[in-house]
Amino acid sequence: MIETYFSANSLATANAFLVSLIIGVAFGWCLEQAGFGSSRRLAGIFYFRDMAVLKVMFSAVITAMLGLGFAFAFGVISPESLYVPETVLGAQILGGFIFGLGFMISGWCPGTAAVGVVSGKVDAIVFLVGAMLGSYVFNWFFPFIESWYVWGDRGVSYIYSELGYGFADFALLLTVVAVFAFWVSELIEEKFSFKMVAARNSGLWAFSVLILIAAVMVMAIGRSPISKYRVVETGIYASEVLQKVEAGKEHIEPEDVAREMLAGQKRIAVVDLRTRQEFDEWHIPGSVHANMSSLVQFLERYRSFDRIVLVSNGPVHPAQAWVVLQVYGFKNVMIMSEGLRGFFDRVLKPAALRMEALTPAEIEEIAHWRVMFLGSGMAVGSASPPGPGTE
Amino acid sequence: MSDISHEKGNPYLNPYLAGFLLGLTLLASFLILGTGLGASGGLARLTAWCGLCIYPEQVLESVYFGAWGDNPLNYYLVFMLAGIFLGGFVSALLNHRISVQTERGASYPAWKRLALALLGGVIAGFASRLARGCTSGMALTGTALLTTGGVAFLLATFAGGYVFAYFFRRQWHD
Repeated sequence: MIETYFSANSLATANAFLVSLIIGVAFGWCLEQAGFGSSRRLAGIFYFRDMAVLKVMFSAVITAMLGLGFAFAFGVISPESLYVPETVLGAQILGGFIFGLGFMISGWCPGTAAVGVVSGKVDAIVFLVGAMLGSYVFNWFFPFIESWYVWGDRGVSYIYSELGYGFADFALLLTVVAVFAFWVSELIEEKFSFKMVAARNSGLWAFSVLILIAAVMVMAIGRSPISKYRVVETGIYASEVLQKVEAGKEHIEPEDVAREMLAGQKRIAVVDLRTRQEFDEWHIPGSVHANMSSLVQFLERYRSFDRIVLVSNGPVHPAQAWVVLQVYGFKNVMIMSEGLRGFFDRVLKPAALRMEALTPAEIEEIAHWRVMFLGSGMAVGSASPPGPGTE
Repeated sequence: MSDISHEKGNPYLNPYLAGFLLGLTLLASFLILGTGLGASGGLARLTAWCGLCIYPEQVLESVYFGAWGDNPLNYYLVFMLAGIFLGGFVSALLNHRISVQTERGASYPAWKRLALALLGGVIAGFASRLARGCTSGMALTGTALLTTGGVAFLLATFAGGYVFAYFFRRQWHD
């Protein structure tokens, strides 16, 4: 397993800056080679004149996705070594729509405009000045639009698990979609003349076959014993697991979960095992949803956390999952006592409605919890790994 | 291929090969840095730095830029952006593709084209902060990782472009 600058927490060192510079050089070189130093070429996609944007971006996405698929399957890198940008669905759909408008109007986006500037394009310089103004305006308005910025926060969320697929199956599906999109793009550029497309020597046949074979291989490896999710050899004895059960060490009280989440000192992931529908209706702010069937893979990224807390309506599902996770060597997993029902009764229930006698400090703490978990919900940090900021 | 007619210099690289190499660059970034690519983040940091030079107190007290402290340039994406300029320059120079011009349709006035580039820039700069990334950091990186937000951003970007494209077509008319 290789350690990344991100997982070593050394992204802000001189070495990381040098690596970033070199990767940036390769990035800028690729963009220029693709012809993205030209706004006319970039804008071509919006008028179906030049589909280079789709071809280049989709090729890059598939290449990197399948490359990561191989890297995960062979244990070259673990998913937790990667910074995964969080999903804030509302902000990203709204932001994406507005961004697309700006991209289309100008014919530039920030990375390509940098390449445009060094190619001598005056419109690229003007675009970058505009983009800096736009960033400044965002900073200015941020206090007023903060609710948009956090609109639809889902933490780390993968499209395949949202749609009920596994990674490898979805990767193959997306590869098939990409090949289809490439051929349609060629047809669009040749005004739907099959003859002209056949006459083009674009290397697309070779590329199509290459990525389809790679996608099938990623899927095959994912299902073979090479994949680490199939190997159950953790050296854990049943007696150790049962001793933990006997000692009650697998439980954590709802109040302690609330305190740890708010204190923010420990890296704690609260993982909700209910159905997606129930999760969407209400969940503990900062918790993430996981499908029971893909739980082991999903939790890999939290393996290094101080604590993973499993919650459901009651304690049965988390307890069953806990046993499986012990087999896979997760030592940081706990079950929240009494589940979400307990969380409602012991954390969220107003002090005035409680039967037991409470000290003023307890009453104050309950009021604080209610504000933090039922109020705006924004004050609670997401359970996803603390990233360097998605930019 | 037909799509080089407007440019001087050497023809561009085959788009699938360029995409493949871009994908390998992204993969290298994942495996070494542990993060994806990004461009707007570095640009926003540069903006914050410019702001600090003019209005230090206001910028430091602001919620968004202020969180980056008094040296916002001390960040890996700033160096990546510098690399993009450098790599793009080397490639354009070696392939004789550097020429000072305002790209537009032959019959469209340059000042109008520049006004649209500025307007688009302001919109894209704002939107990339709202969405936490641009074409590189969100559409490319987020989609390659198959995050829900990355895919949603990518689809929304093309939706936004196609919905309004008709109204801005004249800038490319020859």
